[in-house]
Amino acid sequence: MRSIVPGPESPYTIDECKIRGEADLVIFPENAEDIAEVLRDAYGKSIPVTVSANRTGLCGGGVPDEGWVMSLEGMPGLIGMGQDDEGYYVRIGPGVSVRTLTDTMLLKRIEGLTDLTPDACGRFRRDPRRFFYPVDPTEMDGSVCGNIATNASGPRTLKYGPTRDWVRWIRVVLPDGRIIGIRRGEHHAEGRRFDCTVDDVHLSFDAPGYDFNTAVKNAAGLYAADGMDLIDLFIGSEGVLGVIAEAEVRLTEWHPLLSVIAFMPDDDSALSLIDDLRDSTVSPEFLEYFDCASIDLVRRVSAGDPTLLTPPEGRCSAVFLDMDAGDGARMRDLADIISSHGGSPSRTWAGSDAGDRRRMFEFRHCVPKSIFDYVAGLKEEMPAINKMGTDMSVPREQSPGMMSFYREKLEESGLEYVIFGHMGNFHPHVEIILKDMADLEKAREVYDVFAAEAVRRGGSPSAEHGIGKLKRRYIGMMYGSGGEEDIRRVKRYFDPGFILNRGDMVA
Amino acid sequence: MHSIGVFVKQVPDPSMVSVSESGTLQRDGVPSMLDPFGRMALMTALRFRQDAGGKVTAVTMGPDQAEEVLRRCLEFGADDAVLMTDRRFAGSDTIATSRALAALAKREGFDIVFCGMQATDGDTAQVPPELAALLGYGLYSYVSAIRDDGGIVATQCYERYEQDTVMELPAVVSVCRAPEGSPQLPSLEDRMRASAVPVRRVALDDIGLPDRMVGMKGSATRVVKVTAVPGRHADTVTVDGSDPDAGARAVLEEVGK
Repeated sequence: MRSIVPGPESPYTIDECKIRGEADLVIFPENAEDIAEVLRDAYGKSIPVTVSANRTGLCGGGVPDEGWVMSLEGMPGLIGMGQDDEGYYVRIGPGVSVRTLTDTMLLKRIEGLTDLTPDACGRFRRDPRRFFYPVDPTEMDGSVCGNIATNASGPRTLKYGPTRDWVRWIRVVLPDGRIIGIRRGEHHAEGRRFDCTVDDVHLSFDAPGYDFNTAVKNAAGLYAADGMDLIDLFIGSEGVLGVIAEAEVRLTEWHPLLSVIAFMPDDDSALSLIDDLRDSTVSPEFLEYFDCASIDLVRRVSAGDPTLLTPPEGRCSAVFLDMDAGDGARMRDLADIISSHGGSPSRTWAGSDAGDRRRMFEFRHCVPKSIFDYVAGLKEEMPAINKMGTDMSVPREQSPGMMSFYREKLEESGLEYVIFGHMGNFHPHVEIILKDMADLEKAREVYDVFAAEAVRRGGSPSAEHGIGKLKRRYIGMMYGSGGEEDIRRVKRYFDPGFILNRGDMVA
Repeated sequence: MHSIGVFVKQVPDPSMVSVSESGTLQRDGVPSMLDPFGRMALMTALRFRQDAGGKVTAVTMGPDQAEEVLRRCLEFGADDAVLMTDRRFAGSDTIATSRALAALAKREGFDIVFCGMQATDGDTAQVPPELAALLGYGLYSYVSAIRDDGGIVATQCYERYEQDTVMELPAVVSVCRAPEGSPQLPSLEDRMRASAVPVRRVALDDIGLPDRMVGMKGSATRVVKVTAVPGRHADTVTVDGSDPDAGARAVLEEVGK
């Protein structure tokens, strides 16, 4: 098995949160048995092992504090294809990104995949319909298995739900090196009690006692519910219970989409438009919000980059959505609703062409990217500075109150900010534009106040980025010390030495 | 009122096309798009309409699915669209294509025709001059901008200079750039208007050309084989230049190898 000693600038000791870790060795397994060998070896020597794949995480989950890094980038990608009553599914390894999976399936370039059910590849190729994997975590270069380990979600969760809903089977290497395959529907808890045998491995333990909040978008802590499926314990577990070495994910039928960006006169008209569209006949796949400050930011960036779309002149907010392109009646309904909130169909972009849609998504991505670039620039002068963006969701009835709370606290603090993101799921990102280290201190205080308020309103302090190492304090905030200890107890059951992804989710 | 034709082409999205090891393009399942030069031609035609008045008709020749690019032209503001579709058109090279397009232009009574200077898939740049010759119209090549300045003035873009020409109609215009201020994307309003406009379909018999003038039969050229050209690779040799004479000799020696 290949391994390297990471240097000080190694890509294997950092992820997108840009906090640098430390490790003695990076090991590159090529299959599940290799993973098992590494873990058994590490267990014998009591060496912590941090798992990393494409290192697109935002909370330091794949950043090692010590010990070894196990990079899954050399693992298989696309493996095979099957078909059951619910449709086509694909077996994958950690070596495939969301983008590659989606593009390969849409273009049906499936040469080399094995048939998991008779003639599945041939039937898929001959099927006149097109299919895709609908989870869109925004970061398309992330590993699909990494997405499963973190139950990744994104804007399209509004229509398709999070990653969890699309996983039918996983193959997990447990921290002691045993390998189990868990198929959805085969192993359920009795209340919270699991007492089952999976591939000759007997499991007997209690899931955490708290109820995992599924009323809002939520990526904080282990999943837990009465009668829960064993597969759901591992999905979203951030790899603290085992390493996902293979998985089967479902595909769904693709249809042409119309992307729409409606420019609105002010922040409130955009928010009220989103609220109306959510339950309308338009049936949007996602609903993204940009406040006026976000659009101003895009305008400044696009002035220096002719490839980017330029927002219309004058101060405006915007609402971005995808909808079924084939339905004229829905398009007329959309135009009426936009007009009723003070917008105009002539000031609304509508693109169904692949190139147009790509540019509209670049427009959307321009907001977080320009903040990211801005902070990266600051880091040269102030190495300790970080991007400060929230990732909190609340229930629908709490959303207007939470939005007022954000604005009130930010105005009080005197910090500059933009608000944009997944308002379809009541999950905006508040990005604080830091100028100096004093701003960072203020922003940290405000951030914790926001997190506590989101929990108080029945929401999640980490809707999609997960907990990793950076947000561990929110586990106690959400589930109390009892809930935190429950997670530790389950972790200890699978991993008594806490060698796997040490420091993630719980310490 | 001017009758304005825009000839456009459906091409595979170049960002989705891959090249196989044997050098052939893999187009299967690749989404198609309005050729970027055709889009520039459409934008210039719409600007001409704004300055001089008239009706813009977008035209393409191809199978049923080529209707998509005409829908796109309508969404950007074209008034009308014609799909020239007939099995007998299949396999047309540039001259056979130009014959069919010229016959359609006559039938529609276009007094000005806009084309992209070339298409991104074939890259021949032959259709605009062929069309002009067949129709007996003036040809304005490589037009980067037009403006209303008493008459319609076209800016033609050449390698080392630009030339402003007052256009005389009838004319064929090949376009190399979209006018400044062209719409970035269709608006929802344009899209709704476009969805109510039908695409007219025209077959070979409708334009009154015999079979032998179009398709494979009417083509003067045939693609026999496509071969990938290997990229040029050059090794870099560093020559010590501290002694200019010795350095120059070393360079000559390397060049002579």
